Amino acid sequence: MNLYFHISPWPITYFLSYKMNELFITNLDVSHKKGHLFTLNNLTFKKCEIYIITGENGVGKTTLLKSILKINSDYSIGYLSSRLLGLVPYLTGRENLEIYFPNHAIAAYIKKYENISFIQELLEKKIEEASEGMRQFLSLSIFLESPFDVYLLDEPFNSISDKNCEILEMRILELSREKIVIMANPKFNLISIQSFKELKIQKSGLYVE
Amino acid sequence: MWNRFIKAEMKYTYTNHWSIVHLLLASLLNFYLYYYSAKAFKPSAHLNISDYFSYIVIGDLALTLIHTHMIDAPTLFVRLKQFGIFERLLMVEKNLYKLLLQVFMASFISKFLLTQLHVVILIFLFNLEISFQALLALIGLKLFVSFLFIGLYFLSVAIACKLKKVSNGMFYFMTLLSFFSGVYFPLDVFQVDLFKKWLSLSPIHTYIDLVRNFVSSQWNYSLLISSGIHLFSWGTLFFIFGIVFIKILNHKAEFIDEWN
Repeated sequence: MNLYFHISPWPITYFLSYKMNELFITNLDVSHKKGHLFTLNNLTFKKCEIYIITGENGVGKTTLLKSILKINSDYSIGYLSSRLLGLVPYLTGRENLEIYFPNHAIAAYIKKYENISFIQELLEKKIEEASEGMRQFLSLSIFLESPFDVYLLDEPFNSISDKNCEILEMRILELSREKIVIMANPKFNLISIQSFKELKIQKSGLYVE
Repeated sequence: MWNRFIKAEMKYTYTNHWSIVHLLLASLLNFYLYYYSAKAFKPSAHLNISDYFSYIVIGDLALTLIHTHMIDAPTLFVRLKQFGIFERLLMVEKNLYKLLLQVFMASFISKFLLTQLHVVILIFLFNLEISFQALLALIGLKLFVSFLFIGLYFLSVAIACKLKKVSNGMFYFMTLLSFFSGVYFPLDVFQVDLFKKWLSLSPIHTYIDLVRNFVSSQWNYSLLISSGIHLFSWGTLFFIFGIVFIKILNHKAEFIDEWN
């Protein structure tokens, strides 16, 4: 069964199904405080597909992701911005994990990322003392382990090394089999993600390539 | 997991040496402030200078006891918001009230010891004659009023969402409120009777009056019941207003725009 979001600026109406296979958006007004950017018509995001939004600075990539996030539905939509890491600087990596996950999930997390060379150091170190790459890795990995139906990644981080990026990319690939993943301007090298759909935003609107 | 923020807040409060130094300095500074205020005070018909000294100290003690829901908890909320944690948890949990109450509990539990310490310092520094039973009753009163005024915390959070910085705004609000609630001087210094009557309805005034009566062991059950009803009415009103304010801000779009 498909999931349909029918969105009109006012009043907002939604038609939702029980199983998430796709996200259908029509008539979504993409605008920020300074004014209207463009309107999205009949755009479908499907499961098993990774979507990458590209475009010049200021065309509205972040605004588009936020507009999708603002859809008021029963389904959980997660949004990760590189500007907000979601970590407490005066706590260690493990204590930060405790804010997000129960103990058994933390054990599973550590097992999953045991191949990361700095994982033990990151768990013991205070976030304010950790390197930029470590912080970004922890923030992104926490986000990818959180249970959302739709994952929106706004400029995933560029300080993560290629080797660790590959591990995170594998996780994104794994997620995309069950969930919808949409990324804006990823600065990943995209080593593992070979197939994706590019959504190009220009000043006149959005184009699917 | 029942309260994920307690550890973070405990660590912030008790590894931050400045908060402890601030507590000791504040007590000493208060001593001088109260001493010179008492000297400068022109006694009213009901209060002489020496009484005024203990009057103002107990006022400060009462303010300390209601600090949590007015300043500490909204400040913790703002800090979590600045780190981006509240936003990310809200995306997963979706239950704003549950998260807000977790923040309140974390602030209340972690700051409890610190506020009690402040109260004990005040009692010893100013040699207040207070019985152990009255001290226990004060702690009970703090618990009762804190949960009664949880709506006031919601209101503060709503204000914090808009102001982005809570402590400055709430500091001015608290100072203004204190001046008209009988913290620094009794309400009978005001000449207009109607104004006096209106001010005496203030929940802070009722609470501070109750603390004064506890400390001076002049309380009785009828005072306790009438003050309890008064505070409960205000608590209900604050709760309704707090929920309405948060409901207005709870529109997801508003939150997301505020966060980034």
